Amino acid sequence: MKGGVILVGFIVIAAAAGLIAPRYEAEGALRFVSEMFLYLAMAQMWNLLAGYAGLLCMGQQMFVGLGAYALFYTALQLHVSPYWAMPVAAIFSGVCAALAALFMFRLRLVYFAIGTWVLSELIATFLSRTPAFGGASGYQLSEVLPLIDFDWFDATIFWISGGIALAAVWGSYALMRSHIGLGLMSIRDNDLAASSLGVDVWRNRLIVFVLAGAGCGLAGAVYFTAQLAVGPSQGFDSNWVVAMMFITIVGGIGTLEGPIIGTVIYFALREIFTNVLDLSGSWYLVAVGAAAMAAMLYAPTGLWPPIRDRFGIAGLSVRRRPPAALRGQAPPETVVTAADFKSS
Amino acid sequence: MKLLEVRGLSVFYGDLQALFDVSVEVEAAGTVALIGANGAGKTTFLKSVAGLLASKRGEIVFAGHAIGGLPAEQIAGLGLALVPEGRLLFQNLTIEENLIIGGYSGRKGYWTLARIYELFPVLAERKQAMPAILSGGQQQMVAIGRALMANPKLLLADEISQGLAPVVIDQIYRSFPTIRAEGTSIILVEQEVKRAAAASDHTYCLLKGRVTLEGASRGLSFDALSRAYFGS
Amino acid sequence: MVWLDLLINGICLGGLYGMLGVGLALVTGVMRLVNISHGEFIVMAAMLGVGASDLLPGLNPLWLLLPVAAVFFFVGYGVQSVLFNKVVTAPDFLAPVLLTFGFSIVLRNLMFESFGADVRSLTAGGLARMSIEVGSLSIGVLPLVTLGLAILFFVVLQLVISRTSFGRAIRATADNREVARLMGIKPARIYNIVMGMSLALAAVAGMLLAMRATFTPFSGISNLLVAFEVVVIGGFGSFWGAMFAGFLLGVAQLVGLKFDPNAGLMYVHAVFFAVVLFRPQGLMGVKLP
Repeated sequence: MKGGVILVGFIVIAAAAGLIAPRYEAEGALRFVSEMFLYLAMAQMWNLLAGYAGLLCMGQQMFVGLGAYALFYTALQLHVSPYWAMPVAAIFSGVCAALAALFMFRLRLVYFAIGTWVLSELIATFLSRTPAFGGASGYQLSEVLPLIDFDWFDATIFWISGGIALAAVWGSYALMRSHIGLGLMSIRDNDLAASSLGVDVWRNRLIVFVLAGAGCGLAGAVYFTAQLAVGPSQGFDSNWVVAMMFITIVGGIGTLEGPIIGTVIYFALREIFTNVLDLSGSWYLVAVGAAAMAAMLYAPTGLWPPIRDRFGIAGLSVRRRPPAALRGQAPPETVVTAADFKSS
Repeated sequence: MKLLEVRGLSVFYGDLQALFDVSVEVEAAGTVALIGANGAGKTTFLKSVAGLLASKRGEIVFAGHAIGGLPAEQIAGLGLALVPEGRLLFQNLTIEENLIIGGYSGRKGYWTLARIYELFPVLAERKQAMPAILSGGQQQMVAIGRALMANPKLLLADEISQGLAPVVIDQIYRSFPTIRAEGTSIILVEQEVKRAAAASDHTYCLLKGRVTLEGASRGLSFDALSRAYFGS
Repeated sequence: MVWLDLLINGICLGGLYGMLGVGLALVTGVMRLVNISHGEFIVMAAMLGVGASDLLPGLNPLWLLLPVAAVFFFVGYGVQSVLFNKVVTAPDFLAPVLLTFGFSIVLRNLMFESFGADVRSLTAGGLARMSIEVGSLSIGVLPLVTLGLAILFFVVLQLVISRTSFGRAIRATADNREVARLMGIKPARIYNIVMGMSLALAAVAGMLLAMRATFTPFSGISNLLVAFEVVVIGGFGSFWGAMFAGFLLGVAQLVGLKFDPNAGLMYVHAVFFAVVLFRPQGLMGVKLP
């Protein structure tokens, strides 16, 4: 049932992509949808952080860049096809997230948010001034191009991106249904109460932060593989977080379906602005920023919750329902004990 | 004309109703006691009258003005001052600054900084201190003084004896005759029934958001009070 | 003597950084709002300064400081009144952050569309070339004037906050908005004026920055990050802490540039993290909120 919903979601995206981009030929369509899949995955990570773990990370682009750089470095140093370097990107980004958490977690809320942005800028500037890591122009995949079969390149990237998006959505769902997810939601609602019950607030947040870092790193690595090049200003561009934020809050923060809707809208808007209205990319960003402002002022829950409530769709709900025998009765005074949260 | 007339006040916190159709009257220069157990709705009542709670139905008429829809800052300018539960002094301001800011609305009258220091001499010695180092009783004096600096027609005192030793409470209550002598009306919210009744002309009792008793403070019987306070 | 020279120039730059930060600290302290678009207003003020200076070529841009600051006071008042006041009372911290973030995106890209990516700067004319001799040191006049102005604005701000009745009202509102209302204070009006003050300070800092370096519509991000670092290192709510934090970062920047000319703001960011790691309560020892 739930898998069916996800499948439907992807068919919706693919169909939307097909409708929106009539001017692309087949390869272009594959690239377009691949891009949508990757953005969806990244936005889902950002949503996990901001909507479930209470971590607003405005520097999340650092993992996109770090993952891409890890892939390019590995592929070029070991002279292997970039596909083999992709898992390295994910692991490297995850490790970086764990290390960053050591000092970033000292900052709370909005100070954490901007602090991660500072860290991203620091890393980007460091890479830019260090010729050993590509300097200001970054890396190109030129040396390993012979190792890639270009007949299948776009299709392979498509399937990998789709897999990542699927894993992002399904993985988030599984995580939130687990005891870690329950702990997270209790933290989100009231972290003081949760911790007084024995929920290890920081350990749960660390897990999500590492997973989100790894996820964004992998997505970034695949994205830039498709571009065949990466540089500090592209990999660590703050517009990555702009996209993740827009997709999440317009779609519906703290819901799993929200980012799917948000991704479709993000790309629809982009196509309208750049291909239909023929305006430059900056006008599109102005619209994105304005939409984010409007969402914060008038619709902070995003588009999905009203749709869900209006039509009564259960979707990928992570709410727990009482056992069949008790349904229809008033909920009992639940007493949740620390034992419920002590994890293995 | 009554100074304050509250008619049919119902107050909501989201979906939760905290006050049900409460009606209270205060005469000019009169003192009214509002008693009741924890959670009865006393603080909710004072906060709604003062304009801090927006979600309400009913009428509130103060000195001839309908203040039900007005924001707190405007109501303060009309001559209504609240001594909030828990004192809530400005921690970043000195004692003297706390008192001075009480007069922000610019209302002139008997009460000046000098006269507050006369009423509570111990504060004069500590005027440059920060509130955190004062004792509970002294903080309460600052809170009352701050409210008086607005030269209010009506003073709302929310549980001023909370957390204070009886000796200290006596000391504070001894300032009341001077306050009343200047024509200020008082609504006294207390959990301690005897003291509140002794200091007031009229008593209202609240239970779970409803008025369960009202009458002249003098004639209240212990039985009637118990039933009204705890419910039967 | 190279070190002394670096130190003095670093402090002069630090005065500017401190001004960037104190504008942000004001708003954060009074209404718990971190204005992510702060950096964009700094750039817009610099743009306005450049535009005005082009229209009045004979005039030394220093004379434009006060008029531009005044303009941005009203801009801040308006932006707070129309936009930000809607979210300062929000119980969750997400709404104000994302609103100001969205606003920064809008402003940044509108500036880019209107003015392009060209680098610009403000020439202070003769003043930029003058220097005074102190012993064996040669110190630029403009950096000294900048430092002097920064300290002046700091002192004035400190006096307004601690000695005036309006400053008292600001402190009360920052402490407890609801109780401040009971005194007859209108929080929304206080916030409008405070945001106006914040952007006026940002405007002066922006113009002074433009006199010493070039800027583009995208410079807002680095300005915001520096301002933020000054607030955090300075210790949340201490204006003098912000000043000293500025000095520290200014020196770090110039020392870093001396050894590593392509490093941009890297050493500033590194010092920031060092402080976060080893002294999270900031320079003045004030606890994180």
